[in-house]
Amino acid sequence: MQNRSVVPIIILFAFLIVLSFLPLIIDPGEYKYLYNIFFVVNIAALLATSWNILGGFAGQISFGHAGFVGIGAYTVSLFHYHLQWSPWLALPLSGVVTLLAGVIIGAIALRLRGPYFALSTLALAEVTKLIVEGWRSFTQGTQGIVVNPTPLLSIPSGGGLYYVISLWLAGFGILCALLIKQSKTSYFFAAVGENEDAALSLGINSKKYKMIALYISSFLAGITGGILAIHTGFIDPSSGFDMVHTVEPIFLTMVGGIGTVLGPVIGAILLVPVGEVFRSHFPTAHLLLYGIVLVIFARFIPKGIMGLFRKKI
Amino acid sequence: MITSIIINGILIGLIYALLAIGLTMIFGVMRIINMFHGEAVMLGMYAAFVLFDRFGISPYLSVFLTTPVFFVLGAIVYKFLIDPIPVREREITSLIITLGISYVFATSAMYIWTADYRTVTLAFSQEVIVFLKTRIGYPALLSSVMSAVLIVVFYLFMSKTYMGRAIRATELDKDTASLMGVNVEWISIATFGIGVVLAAMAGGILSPIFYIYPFVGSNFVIKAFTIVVLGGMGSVTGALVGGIILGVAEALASTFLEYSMKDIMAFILFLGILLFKPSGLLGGKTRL
Repeated sequence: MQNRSVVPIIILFAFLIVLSFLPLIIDPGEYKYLYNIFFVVNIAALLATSWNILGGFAGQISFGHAGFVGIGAYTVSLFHYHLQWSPWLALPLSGVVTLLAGVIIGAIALRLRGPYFALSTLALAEVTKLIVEGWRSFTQGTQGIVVNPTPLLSIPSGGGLYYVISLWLAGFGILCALLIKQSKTSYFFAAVGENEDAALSLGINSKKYKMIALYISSFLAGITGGILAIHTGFIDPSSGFDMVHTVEPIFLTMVGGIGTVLGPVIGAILLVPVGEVFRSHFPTAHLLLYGIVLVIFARFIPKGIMGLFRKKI
Repeated sequence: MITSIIINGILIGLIYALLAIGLTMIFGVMRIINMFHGEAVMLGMYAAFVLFDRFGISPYLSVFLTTPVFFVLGAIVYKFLIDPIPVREREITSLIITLGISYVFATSAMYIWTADYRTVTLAFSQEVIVFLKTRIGYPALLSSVMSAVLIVVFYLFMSKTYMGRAIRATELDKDTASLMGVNVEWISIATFGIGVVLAAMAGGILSPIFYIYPFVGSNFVIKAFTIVVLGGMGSVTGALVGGIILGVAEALASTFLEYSMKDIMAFILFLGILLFKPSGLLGGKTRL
């Protein structure tokens, strides 16, 4: 049973603070590849946490997270490109804009249930991608947009900065998940996810809770897209709306433990470095690996690594 | 002008219908959405390509030769990966498992055949037939006719044979079918196998008129989903109607709107139907 407690939050912040000092011990200038992996782990944990809040906590499987990531990435890029904003200033907006997109998407997709919801999120993500591709005067179409590296408050951009920012963003995502898990809302989420009709018959406004989950999830996924655009320095429709952004969070959450706070994080820490090493040696082999591991876990270990420890955190 | 657009739309729509029937059938009987349907189409295309490239067998013939392989593939996936999942969790878990399989197939294809675009160029690939002032590519016509024939054969199989009736009985009511002596487990396995075979056949038939590459499946899968929701999940005639509607809609969109709008049509139809008439255009009750 979950009870309200500040202990996990204190532990989370302790971890974040300690890990923030890592660039002082290991030089980011020297270990560029290592910090690249750290960054990818952080944002993978953030995106998987985002997916898990919707898919794990509220039981609404999304196949459209690539759409949220793409919208977030394009928000940063477009503010930078058209208004010459610092991408860092636009980063919080990427979450807000994606949240607004989530409101529209939710109005359409949340009328549907289960597999139909999943498929409609997939379709909506594709529609968004096609719109971004087609609206050349505004988005540059398939040409993409360059995001120049920009210092943040006189801290030069580089591996260390990206690492610390992505670390705290992941921490923010985990904090959201923790707060939800410790609140009464998580019981409503679980009820709606388990059996929506039963939840409705008990007087739970299922739509309201599905929407809350979708809004939080889209906000976090949008932020992921924003920081991704800043880190890569370039965004185009095929990289921003890459299906990997949909499959990877599902994969990490399923392996780590769906519906738990720590599951997506553990999945990201354990598997993303493996995937990255694979990727650098055999391009796209990590997708093959993801596919196989995903099938094995979904079929044989549906509760993931966290399920092996019985108590849910 | 308008007739030629509609004729071309109907011709491609017939192939789309064949593309969707396997998906709708698996959904109808087992309530499972097969996310690797598009990759089964892709594998069917590569199978046709390899047999044509190595042995010179026409895709229109080789689609029949490869059926046992794809049947076994589908049967194995269902028997070992989907059937053992508890019924309560099957709807969602099967979605994730088949998604994983789609990635395994697509990336494997990439390693086996590389990302290069492949084509099957037949002796008559460039020939054109003029009918009602409409220019129709000969391979496109042949593929459409073949799709139509296969749809009719499949319809007869479902309505006239014992197996087809057993599949439909299982679709309507598993328990009653089981009481009437239908081996529901075997029927489910066979249905999944047949669904994959139909996808692969559609792939083989498409191979002379489409580029073949490892991630081509994702183009087809959303079209197949659209057709399935248009026609109503689990309905064969619905798939035929849905396929033709999508084919004509795409043809009209690419002529009268920007060419890139062609791909958006499928999504717009898809979302529109899901929102306003989720039971499909023919209504929920119509089956077959």
